[in-house]
Amino acid sequence: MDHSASNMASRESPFAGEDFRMKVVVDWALCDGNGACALEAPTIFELSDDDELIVLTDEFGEALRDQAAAAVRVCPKRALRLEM
Amino acid sequence: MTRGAIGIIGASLAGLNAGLELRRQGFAGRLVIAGDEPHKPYDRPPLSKEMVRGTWGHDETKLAFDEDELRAEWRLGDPAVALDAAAGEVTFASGVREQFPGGIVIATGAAPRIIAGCELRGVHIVRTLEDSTALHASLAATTGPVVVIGGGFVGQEVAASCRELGLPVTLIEVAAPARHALGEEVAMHLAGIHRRNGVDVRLGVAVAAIEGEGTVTGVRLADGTLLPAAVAVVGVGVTPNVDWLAESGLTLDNGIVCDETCLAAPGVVAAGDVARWPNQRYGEMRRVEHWDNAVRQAVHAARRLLAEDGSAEAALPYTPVPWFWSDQYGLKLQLIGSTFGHDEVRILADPAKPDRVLALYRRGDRLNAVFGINNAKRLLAFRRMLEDNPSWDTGLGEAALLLAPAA
Repeated sequence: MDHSASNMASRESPFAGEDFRMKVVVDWALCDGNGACALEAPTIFELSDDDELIVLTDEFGEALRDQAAAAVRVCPKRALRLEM
Repeated sequence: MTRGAIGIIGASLAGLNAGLELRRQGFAGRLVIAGDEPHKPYDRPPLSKEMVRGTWGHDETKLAFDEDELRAEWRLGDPAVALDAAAGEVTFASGVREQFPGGIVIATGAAPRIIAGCELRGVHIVRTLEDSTALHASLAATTGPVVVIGGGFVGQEVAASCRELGLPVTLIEVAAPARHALGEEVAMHLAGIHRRNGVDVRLGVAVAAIEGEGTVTGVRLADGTLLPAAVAVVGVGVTPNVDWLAESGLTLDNGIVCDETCLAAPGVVAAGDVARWPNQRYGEMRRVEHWDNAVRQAVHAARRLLAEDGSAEAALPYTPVPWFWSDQYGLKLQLIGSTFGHDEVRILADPAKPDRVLALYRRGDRLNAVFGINNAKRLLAFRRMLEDNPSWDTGLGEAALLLAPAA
C-alpha cells in the first residue's frame, strides 16, 4: 500500500462507520495538477513531487462527502466528478 | 415556514455556485437565476485559451451541474435593469418585475473596459463566449500581425494562444506584465517568458490610437510608432457591472460595497467580480476578480443570505486566501494570497529546477502572498500555511525546507 495513503488512513478511515460509498472520478485529460482538490480534500488527494495528482483513495463514505464535493467545486479544470 | 423566492442575478460561475449552495443548505423555495446572456452558466477561463486556439467550442465551456438538484427557473437573455433593495424587487429589460422576499444574490460580474477603436472590425475584447468565438474567427482568417493591448493576464493568455497558433504577436503594456499585482521583478520575468516564445513585448509605452477605416489596420503608440495590425485585442481591465443598481439603495463604489460577511443590504448579498468587501485577513477593502473567488464567495454569500433567518449557520466574515492561476505556453502560474501593498518580493532560486519560480511577498512582518511557476506542490504547502497568517520568518523557514535537496 502506498505509505502516504496509510498515513492518512490511520488518522481518519475513509469508510468511518458508513455503508454508503461514493467514488471520485478524475478526467486525466483535463487534470492539470493545480492541487486545488488537495487543499479541500487532503484525505483523498495529494500532489507528487512532480506536481502530478495522486488519488489516495477513490472510494469513500459519507464522512468525506463534504470535502470531496468541495474538491469537485474548486477544480479550475473541472476535471473531477463524484459518483454516488 | 417556507422561505420566499430567492433571485440570483447573474447566471455566472458565481451565480450557479450560489444556487447550488442554497439547495445544499436546504432552501426548498422558488429559485430564479437571471442572466443578461442567452446562455446557461459557462466557464470563462477557456475564453482566452482553448476557445481562442479553437480546440474548444461552447460545449466544452458549459459548467456541469445537476438541474434536478438546482431546480432553478432560468431567466436568460433578459438583463436586470433595476433593483429596489428595500422591496426585494428586480426589474428586467423585458419589463417583467419579480419580487424576491427570500433574498437576492447579485453576481453580475464585470465588463471589459472599452477604448476608442474597439468598434473597428478586427478589434476584439474577451469576456463572453461570443467575444471569444469572434476572436478565434478573426485569428483563423489571418496570418497576422496581431497586436495585444494590455499586459494583464487576459492579454498575456491571448498573446500566448496566438503564438501557439503560429501568429506574429506584439504585446503592449504601459508598465510591465501584471506589475501592479506581482511587482517589477516578477513582471519582467513574465515579459522574458513571452519574448522567449516569440512575442514582441513593448513595455512602458502607451497606445495613442487604434487606426483603421471600418477595419483595423494598425495601432499607433504614444511615441509615434505605428504597429501594423490585422487583428487587435484589447485587454485593459474590467469595471464592475453596477450601472443597473444606480437607484437600488445599495452603496456603490468600485463595485457593490458589502460588509465583511458579503451582505450588501438586508436580504441582499453579492459575490464574484462585482462584490467589494473588507477581507479582514488582510485589512483590505477590495474586489477579487479570480475564478476561485467567484466559487468561494458565492458559497459564502448563499450561506450568509440564509443566516438572516437562522436557517443556516451564523453570519461569518468572508476571509479567503485568494488564489489565482494562469496557463501560458504550457507553464502553470499560480498566485496565492494578497500582494497588495507589499513591501518586499523575495525570489527564491531552486538549484534543482531553475525553470521553477517561487516568489514570496512580505507586507510588514507577514508573509502575505506567494507566486510560483510550475511549482504546484510547494504552492499547495504555502496555501495551507497562508491560512494561518504566517510571519515572514515562518514563511522563509518553510521555503528553505521546501527548497532543500531531498535527504
